[in-house]
Amino acid sequence: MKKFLNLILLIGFMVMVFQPVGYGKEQRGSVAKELRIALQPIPFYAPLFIAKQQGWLEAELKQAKISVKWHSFLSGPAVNEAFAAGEIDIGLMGDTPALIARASGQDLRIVSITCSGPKAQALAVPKNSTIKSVKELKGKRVAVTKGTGVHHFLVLAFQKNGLKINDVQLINLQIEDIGAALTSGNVDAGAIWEPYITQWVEKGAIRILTDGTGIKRGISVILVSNKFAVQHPALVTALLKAYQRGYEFLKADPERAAELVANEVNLTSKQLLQVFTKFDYRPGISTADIEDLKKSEEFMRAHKIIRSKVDVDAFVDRRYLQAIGNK
Amino acid sequence: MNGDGNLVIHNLSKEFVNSQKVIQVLQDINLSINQGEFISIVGGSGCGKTTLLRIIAGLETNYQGTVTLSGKPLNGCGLDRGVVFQEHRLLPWRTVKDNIAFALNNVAPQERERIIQEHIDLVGLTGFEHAYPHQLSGGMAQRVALARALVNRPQILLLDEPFGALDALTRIQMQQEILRIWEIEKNTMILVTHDIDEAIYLGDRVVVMSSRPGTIKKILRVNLPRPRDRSNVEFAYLRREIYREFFASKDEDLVYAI
Amino acid sequence: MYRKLRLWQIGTDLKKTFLYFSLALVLLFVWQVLGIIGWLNPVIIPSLPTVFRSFGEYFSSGELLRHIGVSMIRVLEGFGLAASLGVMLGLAIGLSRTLDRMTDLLIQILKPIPPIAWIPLAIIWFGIGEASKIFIIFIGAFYPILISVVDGIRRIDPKLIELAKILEVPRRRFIKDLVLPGILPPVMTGLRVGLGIAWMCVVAAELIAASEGVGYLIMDARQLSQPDVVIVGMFTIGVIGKLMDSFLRWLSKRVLVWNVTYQGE
Repeated sequence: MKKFLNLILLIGFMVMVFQPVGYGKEQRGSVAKELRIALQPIPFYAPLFIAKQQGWLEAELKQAKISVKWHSFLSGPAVNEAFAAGEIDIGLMGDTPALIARASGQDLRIVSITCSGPKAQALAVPKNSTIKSVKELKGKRVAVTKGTGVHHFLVLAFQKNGLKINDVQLINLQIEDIGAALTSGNVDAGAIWEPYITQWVEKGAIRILTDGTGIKRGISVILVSNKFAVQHPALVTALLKAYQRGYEFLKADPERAAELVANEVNLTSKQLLQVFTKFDYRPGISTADIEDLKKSEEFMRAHKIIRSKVDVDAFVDRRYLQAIGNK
Repeated sequence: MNGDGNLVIHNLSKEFVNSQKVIQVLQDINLSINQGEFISIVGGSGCGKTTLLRIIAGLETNYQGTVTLSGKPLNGCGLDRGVVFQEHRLLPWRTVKDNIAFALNNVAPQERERIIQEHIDLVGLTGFEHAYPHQLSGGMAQRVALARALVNRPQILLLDEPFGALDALTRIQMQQEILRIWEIEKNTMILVTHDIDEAIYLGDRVVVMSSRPGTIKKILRVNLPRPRDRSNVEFAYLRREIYREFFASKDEDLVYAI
Repeated sequence: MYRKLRLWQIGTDLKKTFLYFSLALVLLFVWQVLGIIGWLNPVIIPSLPTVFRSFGEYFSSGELLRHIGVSMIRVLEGFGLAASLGVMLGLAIGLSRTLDRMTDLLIQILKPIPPIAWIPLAIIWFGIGEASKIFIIFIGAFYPILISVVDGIRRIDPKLIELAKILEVPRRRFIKDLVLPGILPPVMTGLRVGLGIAWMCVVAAELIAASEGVGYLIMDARQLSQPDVVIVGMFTIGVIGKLMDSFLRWLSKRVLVWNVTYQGE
């Protein structure tokens, strides 16, 4: 009898442990107390950084007694983890990690594109490298962070130059390590994005072999958890409004904008002014954007980066943009 | 055998300093032991008898006075003095045979085999060559220790309460064994014990020591032929003499009543 | 009568085996049930069948075995290095008071640094090839082995040391016949612990630009939001680690025939 009771207790204990672990920390209830936003410290999200620096969201939500929590992550996959754990409501990332999130079963939707920036993706080589064209990378060691937008860009760049992914030694590295590896010459090339491109070129560590022009538009997206989007549409539109405002501010006064964004991204305002020209920050979801997403989805399924199909049309939700008067 | 093999201890003293106290472990020990003698040293705990033995063995080198063997002063440990401790101190990972072999250096392999087998037979452990210490009884393990101590043919064999960890019956058996071996090897035996009976049974002379400070109270000669009878009158007389050195006289009435 | 005895024996053996696996079985059972009820968020904890399926895919395609092989070689190389250096240095330090004193500070300061913290330096010193990974594994396994050797020497029964003095045992035989066998029990334990840590470090080591290996498999799956593959990887690491440990335990028993130990009630 005693042994049986022990067994029941054990099972009960395990269930208790599994339950919260299994469910994460989503905000329950229909009254939100805070808006949790995940960003990466890269210039792809400049308009939102401007909004953050100016405190627009905080001001707008103060009356409703809702606070804004900003979280910083070093890559899209890291933001995905936070989504999975229910730690954030809104996240900004490249199209590739966004599709991965959706394919893995995460309950998310895209409410806007943040920018497109073909020039903000690059294939770089060490400064003193003798390699002058992408073709020469055959058989060489190429570093990339798997699952990011530049991973797709890299494969497309290879395709354009008649190379297959198996023609090189692909090495999976985090972005900081790609920098170290390029500097020390431990790899022959690396796929990177802004601000690292500008940083490392100015440092004299790398040279650009090719960027995304004509290869990949390099769009980033704003993702919202479905539950949150349904329960708190006002907060989603508030964010989009803030983004729109940031975009207009940047167009009107790029110098001031650069100063503000320099606080969030590891570049000087002078460097940022240059970098801004690589991006089109207009929020919205155009047909071209949806086409791009579908192409990315196909690519990823073909390369086994995702294991199930993502219905892009269902993934995207234009209604919030429409609510703020955007097309 | 080099020299006459006589051990001469002259004015031996040793003190032990412990925080502020100075303990006189041994004081003015004078003792001459002739080659081939069997000496029993008996005393209570703290009388320094073990320290004395360790000094003779060469394990303690810090003392005042002189200790010479065949006229030459002692210089640390040596193969001329074998030791058997109260614990067998056998290497647990070696068989009986290998434990004895452990004591041998610089001996040709064939000689080795012969010497080892000879000593295994000597202590009566024939057939147990490949047993491990954990498979032996206390008495058997001590016999291996004995064989190991004898294998280098030491001039002097020092035994520090060698049978203390054994039960009473095995102890008596081992006492007979040691006599038998002594008669064959004919080396000097110095045995330290707290067992008065054992001291008298084995020794040519019994050295009685007192404690704090450790000195020699009395040396008794045992003139009985071997093998000795423990219930013999002379034996009993010696026993009472030594007993009296340790205990008060109120037991005397009991003795007269016998 | 004999038949009854045999049946009873089989019964007790079955009971023992069942007891051995019982806890794991309960865990799997709870996991499966929660999956069926729908209490598990698939993004965080995939259901048991999903994990099984992934395991099946990776195993039958031979991919899993390939990753295991690559990691295993790295671990054995790192562990081999740690064992030989650990024992040699341990002996030197254990037997020489001067050396012990000289090296103590450096060893004690380096000891608490986790292997992961060594990764940046490992990359700078050894690049991103095999050497840096083996270095990380080596660092992880080295300390438990070194410490077990030195500790083992310190714990040698001083009575045996005295015995060696009395028998005038020459230095070389002292080390070969007394010290080495004497320290074997704690050193075998140190080796087991070291191997376990080496295997744990394989995940850390494969953070350094790997393209194969069980650790790489986990990191890759993490970036691609594939928690079921992560679990397959973790499970593989656990099982292999257990098998290696069991092997060392068996080896210990064979080598330490003379060491009688308390097994519990």
